[in-house]
Amino acid sequence: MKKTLLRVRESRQFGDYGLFRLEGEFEPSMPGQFYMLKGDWGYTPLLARPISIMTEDRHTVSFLVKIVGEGSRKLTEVNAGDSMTAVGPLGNHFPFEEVKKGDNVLMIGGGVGVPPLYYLSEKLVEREILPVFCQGARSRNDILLLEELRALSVEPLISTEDGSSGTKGLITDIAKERIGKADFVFACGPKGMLVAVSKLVDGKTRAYFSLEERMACGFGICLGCACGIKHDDGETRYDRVCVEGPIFEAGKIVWD
Amino acid sequence: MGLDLSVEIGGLKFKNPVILASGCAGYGLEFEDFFDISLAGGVSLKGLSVKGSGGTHPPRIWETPAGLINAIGLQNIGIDAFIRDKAPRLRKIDTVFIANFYGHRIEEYTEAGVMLDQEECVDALEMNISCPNISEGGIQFGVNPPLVYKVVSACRKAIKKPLWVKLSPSSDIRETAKAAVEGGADALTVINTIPAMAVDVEKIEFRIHNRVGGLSGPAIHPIAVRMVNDACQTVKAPVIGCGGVEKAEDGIEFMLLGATAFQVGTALFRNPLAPVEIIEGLEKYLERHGFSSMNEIIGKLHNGNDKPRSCS
Ligand SMILES: Cc1cc2nc3c(=O)[nH]c(=O)nc-3n(C[C@H](O)[C@H](O)[C@H](O)COP(=O)(O)OP(=O)(O)OC[C@H]3O[C@@H](n4cnc5c(N)ncnc54)[C@H](O)[C@@H]3O)c2cc1C
Ligand SMILES: Cc1cc2nc3c(=O)[nH]c(=O)nc-3n(C[C@H](O)[C@H](O)[C@H](O)COP(=O)(O)O)c2cc1C
Ligand code: FES
Repeated sequence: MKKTLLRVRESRQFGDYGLFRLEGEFEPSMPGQFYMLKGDWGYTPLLARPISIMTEDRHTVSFLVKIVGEGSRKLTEVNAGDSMTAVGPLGNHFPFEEVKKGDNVLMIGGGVGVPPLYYLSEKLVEREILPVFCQGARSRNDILLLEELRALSVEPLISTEDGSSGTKGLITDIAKERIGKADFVFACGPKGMLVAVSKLVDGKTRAYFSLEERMACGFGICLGCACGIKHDDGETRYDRVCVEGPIFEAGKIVWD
Repeated sequence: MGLDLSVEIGGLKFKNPVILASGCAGYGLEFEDFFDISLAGGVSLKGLSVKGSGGTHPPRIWETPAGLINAIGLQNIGIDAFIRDKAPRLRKIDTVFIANFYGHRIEEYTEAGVMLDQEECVDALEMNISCPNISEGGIQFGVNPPLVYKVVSACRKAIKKPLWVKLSPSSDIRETAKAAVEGGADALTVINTIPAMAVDVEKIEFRIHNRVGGLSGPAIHPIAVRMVNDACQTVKAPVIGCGGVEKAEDGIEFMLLGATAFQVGTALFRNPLAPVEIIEGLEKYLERHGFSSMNEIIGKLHNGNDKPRSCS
């Protein structure tokens, strides 16, 4: 990880979202890792924002952000040529190296949990492993990266809460019977979704969830991003989502 | 050319007055990826206690305008683990390490202090007295001058190395500064975070699980400046300014009012290179004003003009 100044190569907005590509010198990343991003906007907001890597090539790294407050709004408003401070890549990654050809891989993504799973899909498809990709959204306007996933030959199974696309209902409705058959489950999305999915995972499936927690630093010094994790010694301790995570084994996460 | 950034605090020499603040610099090693930590004047380590602490339930942080509220619950690995796992690497790094420590009883303070006093990598100790005192019904040590005197003098007797006391902004800083120095403090760090609260009005719940947290960052800087001034006007012991330093000029403010050095906390989160940039900024400032050393600016604003101002 390091701190670098990257330049916005391109940026586009759609609905409540913004997608931007940064160029400059950065270290190669793994799917599931993130950056702490901040533009040149002084003290408002004060802190950088954690954003997952959506994809990356040798020269550019891309992000997809949903506007939920001031920081995310400012991130989506950047223009080509603007500079952005990036600290990263940070955190651990989805253990995609452990997936073997022929394994049944299920991705469960809700909202802005989709971008890191897209990056993971790219890495798996490179190794000729085609995941099943379930995506849950509030409505059709919140379905993300559909064309990009199709370009990888991954045809997402969609659920929307208002029924405007795919199956009407929650993502667990479409993922339920597939979870039992999966060798690997990779999930990222709102906490409510992850809790619901965790209840469907049994001990046989290797399930990894990417967690979100508020972060001040992103590299392990503030201890602000704590999450209760069951350790092998049987004790529950607060781990840092930014260093020991954001990816944790589903069975070890303490929900509350 | 030939600028001298060094300062001295109670016999300890610092390369420059830029000290990383406790709780914002981990155990010092986390910055290795960003810059050579030995460039910093000093590092105040994450607050340690004898047994360690698991910390508070999340959510622990909330951002406010130009500020950050945190309730980490002084999570730390405990002094034994610190000495075993962290200290050996710190011993090889050429900067001043200040061991920040706390307790909930006077005996816990002295026990922690003695353990850290014996560790080679520790050059000075910094008492965090903004903790609830269990023996006295949970009131903070740091807000009550007689209690400040009691806990500081107990530690002073038990510890050989320089002892700094970090004052609580919830106190009358002149009174607690006096009490700490009478108790034997070699230097004062002014200030710790300011107790604060925030509410999510949509979910109708507290933003932070612990409800109360400590406010830090640029939002508290002017308050820290006033308190540093008050402390410098009241006691002769060296004062280390702390609170909302983002750039060199913020630290210089403290020093012009009499602080010998300053600490950088929250700024490290958004900019892990802040110490390096601040050191560069100090050099530029000295050049710009034709000074040749940091020592020249200490207390400059009061020299020949130290009439105390009444408050409004
Ligand atoms: C490892 C990680 C990866 C992430 N990846 C992405 C991504 O790829 N795309 C994306 O759009 N978002 C992502 N997020 C979430 C994003 O960081 C937050 O939405 C953003 O920080 C909100 O900032 P804001 O100033 O817009 O909102 P604020 O005004 O700070 O908050 C608005 C609301 O969002 C909640 N919130 C704030 N910070 C977080 C957080 N870190 N996690 C969850 N909720 C939060 C607040 O509680 C509040 O209710 C990620 C978060 C983490 C921890
Ligand atoms: C996340 C966090 C953790 C902190 N932990 C400690 C601590 O363990 N001991 C201590 O004395 N001060 C602690 N502080 C207070 C800082 O050292 C500093 O006094 C305060 O944040 C004001 O400075 P700043 O505005 O530059 O951050 C902590 C502050 C923050 C933000
Ligand atoms: S965000 Fe600071 S330790 Fe994780």
